[in-house]
Amino acid sequence: MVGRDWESEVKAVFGEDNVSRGADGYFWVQIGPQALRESVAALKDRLGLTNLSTIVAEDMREHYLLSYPFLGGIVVTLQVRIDKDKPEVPSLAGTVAGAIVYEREVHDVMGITPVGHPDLRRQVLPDDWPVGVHPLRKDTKLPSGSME
Amino acid sequence: MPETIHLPMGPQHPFLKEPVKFDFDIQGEEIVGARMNIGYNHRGLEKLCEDRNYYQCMYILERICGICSHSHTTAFCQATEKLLGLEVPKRGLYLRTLVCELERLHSHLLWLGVAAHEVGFDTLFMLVWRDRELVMDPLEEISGNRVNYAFNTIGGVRRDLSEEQRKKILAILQPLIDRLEYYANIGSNEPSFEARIRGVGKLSKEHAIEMCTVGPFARASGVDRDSRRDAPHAAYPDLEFKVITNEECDVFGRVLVRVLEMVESCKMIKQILDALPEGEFVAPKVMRRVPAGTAISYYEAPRGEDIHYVRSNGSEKPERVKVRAPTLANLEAACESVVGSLVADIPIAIASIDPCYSCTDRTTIALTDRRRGRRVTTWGELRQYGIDWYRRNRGAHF
Repeated sequence: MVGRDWESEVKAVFGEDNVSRGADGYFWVQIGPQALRESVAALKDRLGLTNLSTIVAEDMREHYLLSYPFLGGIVVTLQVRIDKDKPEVPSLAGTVAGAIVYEREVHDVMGITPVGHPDLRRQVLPDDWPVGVHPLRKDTKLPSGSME
Repeated sequence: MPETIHLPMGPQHPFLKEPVKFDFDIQGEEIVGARMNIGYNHRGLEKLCEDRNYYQCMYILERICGICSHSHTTAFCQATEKLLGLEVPKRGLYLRTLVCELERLHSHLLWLGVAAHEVGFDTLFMLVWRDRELVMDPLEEISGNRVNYAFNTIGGVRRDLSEEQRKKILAILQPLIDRLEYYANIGSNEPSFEARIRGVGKLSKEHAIEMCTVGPFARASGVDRDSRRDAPHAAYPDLEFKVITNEECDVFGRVLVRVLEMVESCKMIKQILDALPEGEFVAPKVMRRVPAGTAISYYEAPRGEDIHYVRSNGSEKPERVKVRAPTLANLEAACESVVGSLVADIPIAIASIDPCYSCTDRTTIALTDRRRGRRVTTWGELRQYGIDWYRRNRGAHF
């Protein structure tokens, strides 16, 4: 949006070192899992961004990465590193109701548990899918059969 | 206090066009609770993309959805172009946007027909689908296909538009606008139609914002949100258009928003064709290896914003492709919006988000289950089968 200096505003909220800006003008913010809820609250209160677009889960081999893009007049993506030893992240269900479906999907495909989620049933995987097998993890070997 | 009865609908049910499971709690005719379960159409496309190069991914992603196939390739191409740092020629962007808007017209007309059918107004359904052919013909003529247009490529589009085609498209716009105004009039003045859609499937503005809903569904609840304006892409920064919103917050509002949006689309198509730049329509040289990085691309599909997230590891194949189709953002809110309505309103209330479950469930997981005698054909086997079949039946050798 014209007339508003988004770059300095975003940097003022999250700190200069944590923010980078892509060639397309979208912001990428690195935060820790514990800061997730307050960062989302800050996006809402200080920048007016409430529309969570999705949650992207990635297996970066050394760790997992969750990305939370928000769209308003600008696009700000919060990126959270998750340790492989403890695949947990605070759930946003209490603050952003729209996060419920995305957190379920992340739990299914990547096995990262959103702590505090109200209804963590299966969403994309079939009901008879083996427990503890998460298809989008890079080291997942699918049981009894092949997938090309 | 009447007894609460559990009413399951789906995954296979006459009112559903695609598989999804709804569980309603009803007291008498009134719905008091609703839950949904998706995942019946899961095809593993995100995982498949990790094993294909960017061009192959494009054709896989095009098949996410039969109605808004162009949306997914546009979003994916935009993300890849960002990673490549590729400048798309102006003519390419304009032609891409032209198909985007034609696709929006056909999708909204299709929806309007389905909505009329869901409330038992089959005359309108047939009239609308007849007029939809006005849009399908140019789509077929410029892309060669009625469903998966295969019009996009990384760096532009695959086909140019001839002067003759340009004139043909211009010729359909005015008749189409006349028809749309007629439908807007029916939508707001025909008493029996209005009685079936007004006050049905209420979703308040606050709730629409809280649930992060998108597209015409959100705009009909008064949320001024459109990624064509908020996250500018393709040729939209050059075009003038109004973001249509409505404060009715019900199915009635959603009908009006879509019909008026189509009028805006017609105006945009006129602007595109009048100002179509000369020159190349595709970037001349595109690297097959994509530099490492991540990109998010927004695209306003007919149902709302479609988001593709692509991570490249510097090779020919993407490391991760994530697709968020608009229906997923709207489904939970639509499910809640039927609470308080009558059982007979379920089909139109759910249909009012224009749900597309094959978009929502993408990703397959196919398991070979020898115990129950189910087996999965691998890509290699399928290919070999095709080769053998043609050799046997057509005498063709590969």
